[in-house]
Amino acid sequence: MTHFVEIAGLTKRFGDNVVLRDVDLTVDEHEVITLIGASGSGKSTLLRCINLLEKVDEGRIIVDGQTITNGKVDVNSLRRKIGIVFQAYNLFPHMTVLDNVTLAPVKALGLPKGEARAQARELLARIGLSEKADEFPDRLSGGQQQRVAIVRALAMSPKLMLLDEITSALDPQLVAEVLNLVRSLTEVGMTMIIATHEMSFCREVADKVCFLDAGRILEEGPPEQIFSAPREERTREFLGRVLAAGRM
Amino acid sequence: MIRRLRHAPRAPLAVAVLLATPLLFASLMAMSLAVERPGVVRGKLVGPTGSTEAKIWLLALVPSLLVALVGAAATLVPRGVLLSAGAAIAAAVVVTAPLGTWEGRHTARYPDGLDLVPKGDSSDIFLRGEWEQTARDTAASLGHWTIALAVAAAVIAVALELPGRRKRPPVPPPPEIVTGESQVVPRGGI
Repeated sequence: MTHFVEIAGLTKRFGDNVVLRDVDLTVDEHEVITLIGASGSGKSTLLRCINLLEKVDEGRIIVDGQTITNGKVDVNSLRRKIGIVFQAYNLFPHMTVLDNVTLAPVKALGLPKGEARAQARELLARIGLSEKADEFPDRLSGGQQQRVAIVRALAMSPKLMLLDEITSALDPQLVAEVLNLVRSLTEVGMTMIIATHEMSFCREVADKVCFLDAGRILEEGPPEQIFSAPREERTREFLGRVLAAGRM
Repeated sequence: MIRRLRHAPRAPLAVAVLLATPLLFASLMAMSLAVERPGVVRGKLVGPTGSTEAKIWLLALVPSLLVALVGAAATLVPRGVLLSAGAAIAAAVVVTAPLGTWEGRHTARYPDGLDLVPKGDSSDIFLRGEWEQTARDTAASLGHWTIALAVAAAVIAVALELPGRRKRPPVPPPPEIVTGESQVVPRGGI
């Protein structure tokens, strides 16, 4: 069986610092994978490797049947398939919300401006932000900015979405609106890999949870198993700390 | 000298200044790797001091200034553009060759990464060596672009010179040797 994403023996180093060690992971179409683990465990680096924002030192990544780590791939064409949203919203501050959302479809996909704007307005309406289309990002709350960042990624009609701790920079009361949007994406069958510290959300939406520790996927399985009966001591320790911090 | 410079062709200087621009950014990243170190306040590591920042900027300016100076001098010699391009290539090689060593030393000076936040802390942005790798890649890429632009400038300069040579009128053949007595009649008659 072929998987939509196939990662085998992935190793990534920053100098002598090994941040990912021999990582194996498969993601099927319409599957939602969540990556959990302490800060510095390699979650963000793994997502960045899948999008080729980081060079891979060893191992192989196949996305949609195409090996992307052999140096022969067209990076721009790969990134058209993969949407990525970061913790920092990274919206262009000098552009309106509408321009932020239409920029990539017009420049990268060659969509006519009118068509891109109509599509963007439809997406913004779907998340209840149509009245903010002509505002600049600094007039929006953190939650609204992050929702615009997600919509901007969706405007490229990606086959895979990578979400890198997208609620970490938000006030607790703003987290729900962003998670609701992600929840709606899972309902329409979007393939996603989500690095998160939101354990209850992770338990709710994930098909598979991967616990990363010191650059390795130490344990992976369905959320019920990981959260209720983790096999590894390190997973139990991590979940215990999360529970103590009131994040589960 | 100043008069000569005033009337000299400007192309070598223009090319040198053009090449000095990406070189400046390559040098800035390279010198950050080479020189930057965290400050220490009450035994705790903090961001680099102002004097360290100033040192980085001053050192980063040196290669570009040298290339610009060579460019100015090159206006006085024939095929000066080649000299400017050569200087930029040499400077780019000098700046980028030790990047690996500087990357390792910078990483050692920032054991928790550039943000000085320990691994495992939720506000940790840079892992150890992460910024250094990006900085090295950026400096190397800018260095390569400088070299590529310099080669292109040299090729264009040579290409522009070739048709110029062809256009020069051919040298006329020497006059035939005339034999016999002189026909010149001296003024005032024989």
